[in-house]
Amino acid sequence: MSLKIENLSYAYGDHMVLDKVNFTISPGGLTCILGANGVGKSTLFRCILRLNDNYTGHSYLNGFDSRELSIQELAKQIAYIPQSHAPAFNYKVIEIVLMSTTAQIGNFKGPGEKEKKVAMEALERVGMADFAEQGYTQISGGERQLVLIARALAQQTKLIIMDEPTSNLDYGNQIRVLSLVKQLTREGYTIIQSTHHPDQAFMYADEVVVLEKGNIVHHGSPKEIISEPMIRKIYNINVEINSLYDDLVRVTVPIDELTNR
Amino acid sequence: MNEKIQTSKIYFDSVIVGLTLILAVGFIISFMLGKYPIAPAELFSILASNVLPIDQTWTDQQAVILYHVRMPRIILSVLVGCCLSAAGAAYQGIFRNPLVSSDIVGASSGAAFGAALAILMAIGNLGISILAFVFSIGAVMAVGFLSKKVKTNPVLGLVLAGIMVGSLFNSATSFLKLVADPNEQLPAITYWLMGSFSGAKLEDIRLAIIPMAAGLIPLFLLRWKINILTMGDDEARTMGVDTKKTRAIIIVAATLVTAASIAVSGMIGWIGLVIPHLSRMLVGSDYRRLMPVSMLMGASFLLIVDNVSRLTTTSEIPIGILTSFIGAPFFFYLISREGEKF
Repeated sequence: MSLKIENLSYAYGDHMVLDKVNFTISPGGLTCILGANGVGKSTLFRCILRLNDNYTGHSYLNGFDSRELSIQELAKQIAYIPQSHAPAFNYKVIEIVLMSTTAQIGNFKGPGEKEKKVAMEALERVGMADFAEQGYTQISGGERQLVLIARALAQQTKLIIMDEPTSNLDYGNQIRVLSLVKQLTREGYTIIQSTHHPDQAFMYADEVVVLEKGNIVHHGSPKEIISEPMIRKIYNINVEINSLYDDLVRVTVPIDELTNR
Repeated sequence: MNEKIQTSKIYFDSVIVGLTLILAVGFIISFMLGKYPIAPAELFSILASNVLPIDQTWTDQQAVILYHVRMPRIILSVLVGCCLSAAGAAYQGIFRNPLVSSDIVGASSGAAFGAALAILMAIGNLGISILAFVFSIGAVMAVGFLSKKVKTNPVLGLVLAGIMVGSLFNSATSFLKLVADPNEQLPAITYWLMGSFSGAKLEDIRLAIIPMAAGLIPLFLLRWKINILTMGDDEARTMGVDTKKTRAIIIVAATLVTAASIAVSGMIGWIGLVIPHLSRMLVGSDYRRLMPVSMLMGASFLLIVDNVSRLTTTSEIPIGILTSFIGAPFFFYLISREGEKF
């Protein structure tokens, strides 16, 4: 699934958050969106998902303007994974996953055997099938994030948008979740996630989109885009980028901190 | 309770069959109970005589009591129990808050004010129903609007807005009582506010059945969608649910059945809060199971409580008082037992 953002602008009242943003994400692969707090990463996602409906410009899915789609049709194209949270009621894990099959079924229907099979396959894919009958509020944060990924898979879309999927997770779960996300892109999913860690982008991203204040967008491979001056410009932090294992991976070190030791 | 058992189809089917049996048995037994007992044989003869040529073995008085006193009352208590429980479950889902019921979101106090106003203006039973609904939906909308002003804690915001709007309408109702004619209207309003089925008439059923059906059917059909709305608007929309439309339909449906119930039975509190919780303990949170179980359980519960209300004392206790006496302590027991789930 390709996603083309064309002259997309959005303002909260007088405050212009996105101003004529343009970029195109090609099918397959993991794209990381980087940018300082408040630069408009979430707003961009909300526009693509049409949660903020009154944007100007266009968002094209495989060449079709997403504004032409109904809420239900759009849900068949893009799945959204929010940061994990506790819902008001204690649903079973399988019930949480089944929720995303709603776009596929009739208005007055609930999910049937076919949807249940899709949901179980999705849980198996993320390694959570044994948790199907457990209460969602009783499992750990990392497990919840995996369940939400399973829910996105059960939505049967080719494009998945994740809002900082690792922000509430411990280190081990961060790696496990990102590794799963990377595998999914190899199976043909197009995944876009926002992140605050340049190192994550170096390790996992096929492409990065950097949103800079003033709505300048940099788009390319991580090695092309993420540079020492770029990090300084976005986050106002001096870093040194180190190449490891014959440039298989790069890591950022905040060098000013070394002199403070 | 073992979670695997809770979601199995056999378990759910047995719960439904069990609750239906309790309701059916309770329904039949209720016809025989009362100051003028009707024996089982007489009950079936009276009913069968409608279609079969049977010699009359019962007194005319018994037939009158059966058709004009007990039948309307029994049917009405079943319908109202079903409606208030279904509405409570729906409000809890829509407002994403397990502490909500028609009392908290203002539906009850709004309906009470509307009905009291109608009694004061003496515009008849249909007038009571219409004004009850109009003020009920107005109160719910006011609570929904005001609760959004408390941005930091939506659960708290809703409860606070509910208390505020509720007390506003309660004061307005008190004002109506103050200006009401103390010989005719005041006792009518006061007794009606206590909640009772003692004056139930067949006409009440005819009046209430259409709005009740019009509300219960969408609540039942859209019960899967309520699950998704409890995840919040953003998530629900990205999963393909038209949140504005669906929420509006469910709120109108829940308020319609609440107002229709209150218009014919007066204020009957607590049932909309307690029954969905009991049902949740029995079958879990999924509204596919929760909604039908709440409906059946609420119907049986109010039928049984109304029997207690009309049988225990000679000058019967209004059922609204009884449901509070049972509901409030029971609810305390629920939260202290299941506290961690809230």
